Amino acid sequence: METDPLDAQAAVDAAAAAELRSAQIATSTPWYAPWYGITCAGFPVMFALLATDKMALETAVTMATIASLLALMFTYEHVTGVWPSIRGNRRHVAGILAVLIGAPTLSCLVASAYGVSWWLLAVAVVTAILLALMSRSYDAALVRKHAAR
Amino acid sequence: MTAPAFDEIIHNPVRLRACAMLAGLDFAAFPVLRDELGVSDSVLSKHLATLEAAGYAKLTKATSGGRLRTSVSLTATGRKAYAAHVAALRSIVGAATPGLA
Repeated sequence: METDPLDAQAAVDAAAAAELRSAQIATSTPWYAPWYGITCAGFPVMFALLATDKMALETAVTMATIASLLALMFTYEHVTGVWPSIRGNRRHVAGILAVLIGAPTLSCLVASAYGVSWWLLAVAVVTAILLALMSRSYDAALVRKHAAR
Repeated sequence: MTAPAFDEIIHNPVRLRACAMLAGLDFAAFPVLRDELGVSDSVLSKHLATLEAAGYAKLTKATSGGRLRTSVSLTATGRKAYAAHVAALRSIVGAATPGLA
């Protein structure tokens, strides 16, 4: 089929606008990043408690973390009506995974050696802030990528 | 780098925009697509059926809170076809405007 270059340009523009709109919808929830960060701060706490055999507390933190994650996912999908893909954003996802794995590993090792004390609060706060910032940065990069087209 | 391949099925304006919206998503709810594309339920259903028949889109129906919810996603074939189609459009534009290809 012969397509006029002007028609092709209009189609490219329409596709780019739709891709950008899709990214804007997926990142239209300013509450997501802080909620996500605070929820994920539960992981290093969980592992530190597990390493020191504080089972009752560990179970409570695990249940709260899982409940918060499920509520976050449900609310996000309910509000936006979409679920973003991680395709093409693997570097950001790898960074988030590094924190998600690194913080619990660190807290588990430190708790095994020194027990649980004030340092766990510091690890949890740093984890929450890092993941909230990474989530925001992921959103901004997604919109920037489509806006640049 | 995706090889350009013009696709008649995707080139329809509604289907092109639907594919563009779905390209960056794992899925979108049917009402979100309908509202963003500014078409009626029946028009969107027809276009999605065409994409589904071509193996480009997948419709998933689930009951949530007593209501039937339909979500739409692009298949791997659909993602490749969309990327190839956009590459073909860009090459047409580039051929007409040397230096932009």
